[in-house]
This record gives sequence, structure tokens and C-alpha cells, in this order.
Amino acid sequence: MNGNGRPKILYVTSNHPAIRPGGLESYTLDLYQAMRTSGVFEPVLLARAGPPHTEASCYHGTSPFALVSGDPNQYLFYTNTFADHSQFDPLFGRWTSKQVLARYFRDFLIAHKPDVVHVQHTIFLGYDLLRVLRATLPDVPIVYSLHEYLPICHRDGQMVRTTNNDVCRDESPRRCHECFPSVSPQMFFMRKRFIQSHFALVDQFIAPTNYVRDRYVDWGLPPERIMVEPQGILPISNRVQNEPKRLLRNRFGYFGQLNQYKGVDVLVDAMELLGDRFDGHLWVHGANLEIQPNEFRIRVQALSDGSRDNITFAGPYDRADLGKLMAEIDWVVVPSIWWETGPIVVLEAFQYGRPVICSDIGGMSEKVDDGVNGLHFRRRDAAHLAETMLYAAETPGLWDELRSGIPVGPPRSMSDHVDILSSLYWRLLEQRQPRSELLTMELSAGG
Amino acid sequence: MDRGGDTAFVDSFPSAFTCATWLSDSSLLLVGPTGSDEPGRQVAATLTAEGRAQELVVHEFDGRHWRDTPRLVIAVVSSQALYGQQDAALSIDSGRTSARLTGEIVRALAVAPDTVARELLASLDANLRNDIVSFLVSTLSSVPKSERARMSDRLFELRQALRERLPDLVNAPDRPLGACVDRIMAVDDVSFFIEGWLRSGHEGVVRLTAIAPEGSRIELLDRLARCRRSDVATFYGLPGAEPEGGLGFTCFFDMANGCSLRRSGWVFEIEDTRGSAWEILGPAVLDDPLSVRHAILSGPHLERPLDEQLMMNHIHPAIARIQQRLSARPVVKSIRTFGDPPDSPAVSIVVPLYHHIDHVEAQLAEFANDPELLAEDLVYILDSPEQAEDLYSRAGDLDPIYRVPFRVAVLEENVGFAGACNAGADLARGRLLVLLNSDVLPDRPGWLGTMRHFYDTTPNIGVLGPKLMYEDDSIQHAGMYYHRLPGSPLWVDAHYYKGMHRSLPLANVARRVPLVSGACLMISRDLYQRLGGLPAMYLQGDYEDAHFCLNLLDEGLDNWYLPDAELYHLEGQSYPAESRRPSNRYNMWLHNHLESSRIARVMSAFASSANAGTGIEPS
Repeated sequence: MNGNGRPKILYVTSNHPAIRPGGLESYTLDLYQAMRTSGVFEPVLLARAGPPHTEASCYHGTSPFALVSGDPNQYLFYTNTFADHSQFDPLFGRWTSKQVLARYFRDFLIAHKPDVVHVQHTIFLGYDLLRVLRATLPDVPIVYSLHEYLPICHRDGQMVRTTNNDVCRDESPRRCHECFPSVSPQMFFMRKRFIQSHFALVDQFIAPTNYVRDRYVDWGLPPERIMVEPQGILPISNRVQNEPKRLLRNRFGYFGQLNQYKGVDVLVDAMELLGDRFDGHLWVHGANLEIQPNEFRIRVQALSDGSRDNITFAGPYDRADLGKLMAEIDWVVVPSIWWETGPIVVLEAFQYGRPVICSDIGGMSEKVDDGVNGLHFRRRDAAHLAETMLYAAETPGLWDELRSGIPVGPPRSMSDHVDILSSLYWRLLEQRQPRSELLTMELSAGG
Repeated sequence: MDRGGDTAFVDSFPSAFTCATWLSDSSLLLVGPTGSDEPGRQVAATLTAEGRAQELVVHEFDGRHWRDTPRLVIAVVSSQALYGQQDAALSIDSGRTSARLTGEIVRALAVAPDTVARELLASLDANLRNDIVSFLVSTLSSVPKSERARMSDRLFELRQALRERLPDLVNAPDRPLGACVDRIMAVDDVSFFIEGWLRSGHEGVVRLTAIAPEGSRIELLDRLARCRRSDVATFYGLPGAEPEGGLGFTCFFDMANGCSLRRSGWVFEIEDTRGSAWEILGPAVLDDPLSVRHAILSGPHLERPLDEQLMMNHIHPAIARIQQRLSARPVVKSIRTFGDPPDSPAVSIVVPLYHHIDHVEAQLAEFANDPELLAEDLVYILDSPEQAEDLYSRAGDLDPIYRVPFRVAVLEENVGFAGACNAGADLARGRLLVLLNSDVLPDRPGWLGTMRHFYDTTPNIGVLGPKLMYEDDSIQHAGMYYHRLPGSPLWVDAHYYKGMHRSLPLANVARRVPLVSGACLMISRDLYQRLGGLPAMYLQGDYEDAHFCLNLLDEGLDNWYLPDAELYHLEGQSYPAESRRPSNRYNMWLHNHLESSRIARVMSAFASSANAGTGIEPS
């Protein structure tokens, strides 16, 4: 406990909205702020800095930590100050040089002495931070949120096969090797053992949906150590009021990264099929097309050159503008091909009163009821998506009907989420047993 | 000859020696006039200085069969001693005559070697010259090791000056006689391995002589092992079958009493039945032992099924000598300790590392969760010393994260699996030794205690092996036995139940087995060392464990398999599959060559024992 009697919760994550505005980053910051508002715990946020801007070295010479705009409890962790990006092994999820963890992360833990540590992500930090954490603070419970399948799946944590883009439900050394022929089955086995060895130190895992929990149980996590708790969603304040009534509801919006897992190419193919005669218009809001693999990027760019009248690539967007952007479209399209653990964009669409057209799998189909508050189309089927979009645009009264089916309030509001997590933290604190390992409290010399 | 110096001294000893040259700092060649002494007498040499007399090694050229041969004496005397000490004098005594040469006299007589060659010896008969060259070379091993390389160069100069040149042999598709030496490899300083080809032509060849750079002559024709060379056959436009068992040849030869240190300058002479002779130049000599070993095991001669003669007379002698060179007692260059080592460990786990130092982290991640392991002695032995800095740096990084106490020992040079294990055993502190491959990961904690309990409570036990599994939970090892390939006399090692699921009932019975895999085995350290550890004659990590198990069986001990201890063996990542094959064939041949009767006895004992009915056919 710290001086004011409130237990300290340290959130560890792999990026910050100030550097990269993304879903996970926003959620972690929102959670941190909501925890602070609730006043029961004192939260601290440690976010690995970047990408992008990972080349920005720290300002203070030999310390890799920087404050985020003056908040005494929010830090950026420039791990690449002492080891460059190429020294992070993405297959095993670890730095080859351990100084980042063994010295700097450890020093941070000793300086802040959290009572509970809740890890949101370890990418570019390393799974072995769990071991340093346990060794430095033996009595502190560790909570770990599973936001996607990265520990299970080397393909960006998507569990989509490289061979045919099917959803994978069945990892094994042999199958992983089939997806990545340059990595041997033995290496995949060693990767799994490595990650699980560190996961053995986690007291409580949190999965956002039952499906995610099932995948991790299949993979080998003890079922009694995973609880299901969706992400909390903040209420919005920028919803446009008194929207004008429209006769035609043929405006479509896509919000998110422009990558293959999000099914952007399926959407693009659907628009191709619909052709110039299609009355509707698609706005594509999102970024990161330039970092995608060539074939995909070229295909998508071919449509963004302005030659098509009914597609607008609007570029990256700010969450603060979401209200305005949502008001300008009727339907939100979520064509993801992977078994989404969120997706938050569905909940955001509902918050703004937009029915959703989505793939018939995963977190999407769980949150969107076909014919009630949205429409399903067959995953990766551009023709079916085109048909669905046509149906959506040309069926009078359909939009109003589906809009009225949108549930009031998200599956989990942020304030409920904070309450549930708080109970979890209290439970873990009360169950805390002293560990037998020795704790050496000497700080490393120097800054 | 204008020598300068004091002619008065020379006139005092008119018939002794007329000329001298230093072949090295300690090898003095004295040349005397023709017919100056009775042949067949023993010669003796002494160095007197400061009142003391020191007997020297001396050689005299035996020119009895030659007319007009000069007298040649080589005395092994330090030039520093002879020139440096004031009253030093060299006495050469051969019964009737004796000569006393002070340092100053020698200095006056001394000329460069090629002067001797040109002016005294070049006019002699060609065969006499060859004999003289052989004589000179024969003294090479008398000089100190440090001087031999330089003397080799000197001898080469002399050889070049004295050797009778023959016409160069030109190879052409229309010429019936052709030859080439493609490779010369130094097995050590006294034996070599050559590869080439020879087309004997219509007349036939009577002589193929190798002439070492220093001058030694070795007759090779009758020693050659022939093999096919389809590229040469194509060159000559010869259909299908090659004559003489193959146009190619390989040959291992020992230089008997000679040695050769110079790595270029080999020449080969060929003579046909009509007496015509030619010469061909040999290539530079390959002498890195590991490259030589690899080349011998992967040459064209090994393309066909292993020939017993070839193995016995050429491959095996060569490889055995290289192995001897490579596996002299492995020397530990440095050791570092990480973490606090346990006070009195009962078990020492020895893990040889060869290239895959990334496996250390994977193992530590498992060991960190295993309290049994944290109390024992863990030693990594690095057998690829070029990675020492990298490994020490990583170990330093990993230690604060995993907090598993361990030592890292770096060997001075690569010695192979057996040597690395033996070095590890020498460093072990526990009474029990576990040899563990770096690519073995325990399934769960408890394996070590289970093995230890079994070992300590089983009487008459030699070695103990656990169940090893592939990454897909199928069996990689559940004990091993010998198996004869159909139609072959050779025994091969085999694994019981390999590839079956780990839960197969028959594979889950603890029992005696002939052999246990060296990938993970437990043995009393005293027993291991008493038996001399793993034998070093095999290559790259293959069969030494089988050989060692046979040694244990010979002691009347039992080797056991214990399925309750389960680990994963992610094998095959140390050596890529292709490079494994040549050494594997050699190892298998060698193991059979040395052990086939022992193997037969062991397998028949097992066949008639309780293991009958396991469904495994032992032969």
C-alpha cells in the first residue's frame, strides 16, 4: 500500500495513444483513467513507446523512461534506447538483450512498488517480463489480459492460416510449421514451452469472450485461471443529435486499420463487383496501408486513386471526430476474416446508432444479431458482401428497423468494468500468500 | 669457389670437408670429397666447448653402392652453440679419419644450400641425386620441432635443385595414358590421403611415385584403391564400365620413417612398361583436420556401398589418426559461474553445447520452474569456442532473469560430443551424472527426482534413460537395441516404439534394455569415469553412447529404461540432415568393425530374456 492507503495497480502495455492511436492503446488509457476516477485504487500506467517514433531516444540520457505530459503516474518506456528493434525476437516474444527487463523494468517496479500488476500486452517488452516481475515482487499478484491470440499464433496473433486464410482452431507444431515453413516444428514447440513457462507465473488471465477463453484452454492454460470479462466501453458525448431523416440509406463506412485481417480486400472486391452503377458510397477511414504486404497494398491502392466515384479513402481518423464521421454514414461494415476478440468498432457503431454489416464469425457475429440490428455476410465472400450491401442500400425501411434493434448500452460499460476488475484485484490481494523467494531490494546504481 | 676465410685452417684438414651448409639452425650438412672414407663405418660427432664434451646426433650418407659419391654428413648441432662459444669445436669421427672443425672453420666453409646443390651435387647421376635427397629428408625428424618448417623449405630448395625433371604429362582424350592428382590432404605430418585418377594406357603403368616437397619418395601404385570417375570416363569418351575397377583412385599412405611439413610442392612420377616416365604436379595440401575429415568422408569414393578394403586400408586409418589429433584430452579454456551454486549437489547435469547456444534460454525457462533442479549442479560445456564471448554475454543476461545457478565451461577447441561430455564429467561435483542434450526440454518438473530415486534403489544398474518424445507427443526414445539390416551383416542401432504415441502401454514399462540414448542418461559419476567416459573415436555424436552401453554390459551391469521420467527431445537441430550422413556411415562401419561380436552376444542374450514377446525382433 502506498501512503494514502489505496493499493497501487500497475498497468503494463505495449503502446500509448499519444504515439499510436489504436484500439488497445485507447482501451488501456481509458481503463487507467476510469480507475483513477473511481478512486479505489491508485493506477500507474507503463506503456512501451512506439512504433512509430521508436527512434526517439529518451530525453534524459541513460533513463529509458519519460513522463506522458506531466502525469506522475503515466510513463513511456523507450525499450529501444539500449537495444535496437532488430534485437527483439518476434517468434519467441523476447529481447535477446535482457538489460531492458533485468535492470530498467526491475528498477521501475522497485521504485513504484505496485500491489497488483495487470499486464495488457507484452509485445516489444517480452514474455519474460513476467519472470522479472515475479522475482522482483514475489508477493504481488499478476493479472494478464488476452487481447488476441499472439501467444498461440505467430501470424500476428490472428489464428488465420497462411496457406488458405481459413480460421485456425487447432494449433500444433506441425500445423504452425505448415503456415511458416521456414520455422521448424521443434522451434514452434520451444516457443510454446517458453511462453507457457512464463505464463505459469500469472495468477489470473482475462479473456474478452468465451471463444477466446476456449482457444487458450485448448492451448494449455488452466481453465480455472481464465475468467471471461469483455472490455469496458466509455459512454460517448459526441453523438450528433437530431439527425435529419433520409430517404436513402446507402452510405457505408469502414473504420479501422487497412490490413488483410480486417478484410479490407474483401470489401474492396465487393465494391468492384458492385461497380460504377452502384448508388451507394463507401468511406474508408483508417491508416497503415503503406506497411501492408505488396500484393494487398497494390490492390487496395488501385481503388484509392480517385478513379472510382463511389469510394473515398479518407485516411486516418481521430476518435474525437467519430461522432461526426458516424453521422455521415448509415451502415458500418466490419468484414474481418479473423475471429475478432472485440471488435470495439461494432460497439462504437451501436453507440452512434449505426447498424452493422459484418462477417458471420467471431466477436462480430456474437455482438451483431442478423436481421435484428445488422446483417451478416459469409466470411471472405465478396459476392455475398456485395449482395448484402445492395440489399441494405435498396430495401426501404430496413435501416430504421435494424436501428431500432440496437441494444441500449454496451455489453459492458466502463464503470461496470472497473467495478468487476476492482473486485478481482481485491480478491487477489486478500488471497496473497507470501512467496518463498528472496527479494533483493537494492536499486541498481546510476540512473 | 671463393669462400674467403682463413685458408690456413682449411689446409690443416685437407681431406675432411670442403663445404658446409646449414639446413636449419641446428642441422649442419658437411660435404667432403669423393671417396674420402671407408664405407660402412660408424660415424660419431661431438661438440666440445668450455671444457665439456656433448655427444651429438649425426647421420652419414651411405654411398657404398655409388661410385664418385661425395661424403655427406649431417650433424645436429646448434649454430648458436658452435658460433657463439669461444672455444667451441665440432669433431666428426669415423674410425680412421677424424675432423675437428672450430666455429670459425665452419663459418668459413658455410655456403647457401643451393650453392651446394649447384656446384657439388648437380653433376651427379640422377638416381644418386634422388638417394641424396632421400638422405637429407631422413634427417628432418632429428631437428627440434620449431625448426622443421624452415628446414622443410630448405630441403624443398635442395630437392628442386637436385631432382631430375621428367617431361610433364599432358592429358588429352586421344592419349591412352593420363593421370591427375586432384587432392592431397595431410592426415598428420607423417601420413596423407590423396584422390585422383589414372588411365594406364596400352602399355600399362609400372610405377606411380609420390615425391614429397622435401624429397621423400613413396611408391603408390600397389596401394591405390580404385573407384569410379564418370567425369573422367566422359573425358575419354569411354562407354559404361570403367577399366581397372575405376579410373579414379584414393590412397592413404604413411611415410614410414619420414615426414612432410611443406604444404605445397608434391610431384608425382609415372613410368610405363617401356621405361618412359612423366611427372605431374600435385595441388596444395589441405591440412585443417576438420576439413580433411569431412573431405575424406564425402569424396567420390564413397558413392558406392562401403567397400571393406577401402575402409580398412584407407578411410579408417586416416580418420582414426585425425580423431586422435582432435580428441587429445579436451582442455577447458575458461569457466564462469552464474548465480550461487548449491552447496552439496547430488547430481551434476552436463549439457554439451555446439552452435545452438539459444537452447540455453529455453532450458533455463523450464529449469526455473523446477525446485529439484535448482538444488543441483548444472554445467554447460561449449564445444564451439568461437561463440564463447556470445555465450558468456548471454549467460550474464539470463542469470538475473531466471536465477538458475549454472556454470559455463568453454573448451579450447572443438572436440566432439564425447570429448565435451567427458570434460563436463571432469568438472562435475555431484555423485550422479546426467548427460543432457541442449535440445532436450523436460515435460514437467519431477523427472530428475524420479530418475534419481530409481537409480539409487536399483541394484547393479549401469545407465538409466528416460522416455524422450518428439514435439508432437510421439515417442523418440524408449530404450534402444541393435537391428540387422536385411541382407547385410551390419548392425544398426534402433529405437523401441519410435513414432508411437507416448501413452502406448508397452512403452510405459520400466525395463532393462541393451542401450540408452546419450541425449539424456543418468549414471554414477565414479562409474562413468572408471570406464573412461564416452569413447572418442566416433564422429559428431553418434554411436559413442551405444559403445559405452556395451562397455557397461560387459561389466555385468544393466541398462534401464524408465518411462515415468518424460522429456522432449527436439532432435536434429545441431547438424543438418545431409551433413550427418557421411559421418554416420563411417560411425556405423567403425562400430561394427570394433564391436560386432559383442553386439551379437548382447542381442542374443536379450532375445532369450524377458524382452521376448515385446514384438521387437532383435536381429
